[in-house]
Amino acid sequence: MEETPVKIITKEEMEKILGEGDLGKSGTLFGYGVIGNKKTGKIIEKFKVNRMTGEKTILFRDLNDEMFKKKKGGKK
Amino acid sequence: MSYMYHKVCKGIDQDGGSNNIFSWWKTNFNMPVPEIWDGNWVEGRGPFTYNELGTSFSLSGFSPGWELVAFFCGWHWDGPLYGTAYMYSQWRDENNNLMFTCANGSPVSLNLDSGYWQEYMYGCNQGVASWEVDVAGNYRVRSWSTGTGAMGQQDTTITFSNVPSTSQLSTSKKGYIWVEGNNLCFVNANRWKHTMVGNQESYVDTAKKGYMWIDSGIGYTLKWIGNDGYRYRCKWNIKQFASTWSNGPTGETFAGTSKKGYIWVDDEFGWTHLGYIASDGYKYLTGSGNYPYQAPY
Repeated sequence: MEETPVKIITKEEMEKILGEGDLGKSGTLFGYGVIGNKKTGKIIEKFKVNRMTGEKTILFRDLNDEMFKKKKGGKK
Repeated sequence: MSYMYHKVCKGIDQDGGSNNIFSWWKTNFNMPVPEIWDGNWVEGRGPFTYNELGTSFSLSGFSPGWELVAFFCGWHWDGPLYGTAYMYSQWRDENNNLMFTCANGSPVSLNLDSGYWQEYMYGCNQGVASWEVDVAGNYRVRSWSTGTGAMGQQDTTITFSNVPSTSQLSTSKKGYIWVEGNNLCFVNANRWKHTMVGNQESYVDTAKKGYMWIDSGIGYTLKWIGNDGYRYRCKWNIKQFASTWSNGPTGETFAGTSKKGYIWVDDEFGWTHLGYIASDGYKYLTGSGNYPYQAPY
């Protein structure tokens, strides 16, 4: 039987080893969202928004979908 | 049309599959949550399926320091709609006082033509502690949105019964660890006594009761000798990894093999589990709660 004897250490000793701290309340780091096309039934965009900064990141976008083609063409 | 949906559940998985599964029910506070968002998004549901959705939960058998449920709130808009929406979601206590905010004015742009829809989702969880659920009663989750496509306040009552005491031991007891009967007990960083019931292995010697070590073989489990002289193995452990939820770890930790065998009660995140360095030099987690990476039990 292989074994490693344990060494019980204090918070201060642990922090020296790991150097990390508390991150705040418990929830998803990002909010996630999608845009869907009712006619085709497809998801045409997936994105995430940083909970702290509000920064949006596009994870997927179907540029062949009609809505994005129209917008690329100048429609609001 | 715009609407919101509230999903309060013990755990989640992806379309009934076994990938990216996670449970909050009876698990230690703030265990790392894997990537959960890459499943098929369904309108009015989101990208995963929910394990044991409910509005009433009995906490019989619970210890303080264990998670209960997660609240996922979804906001839905139908086009045409153009502008920015700001979303809010909350947990509120048995007296309808705010416990904590989940989404707090999170903005999302809406640029939807007719025939298109958009959804946005955010989640946060709830556990047993004096600052979370500490008394039986009717709690609630609440959501609304402002700005474009604004949605009025929506409440869902969530009833918790058989709530255990959340009283804490004295500060001087924090970090105590011992074998009691055949179980491994410790006083965690939130000063609650937690009891780890292990899996019994082979007989060793009653003279060695109370011995404790980390197995250097596959799995790097924490082991101890019970009062009956048998060797016991912790029911689960997990090599630390980056959590997709706040108040969790930001990555794995390599302390180095020279640190093998170090063990402590965590007060870095969660404050209810044991952390230790195995012989591979990495940090592992174990605790008294259930294994988080399977369906709730």
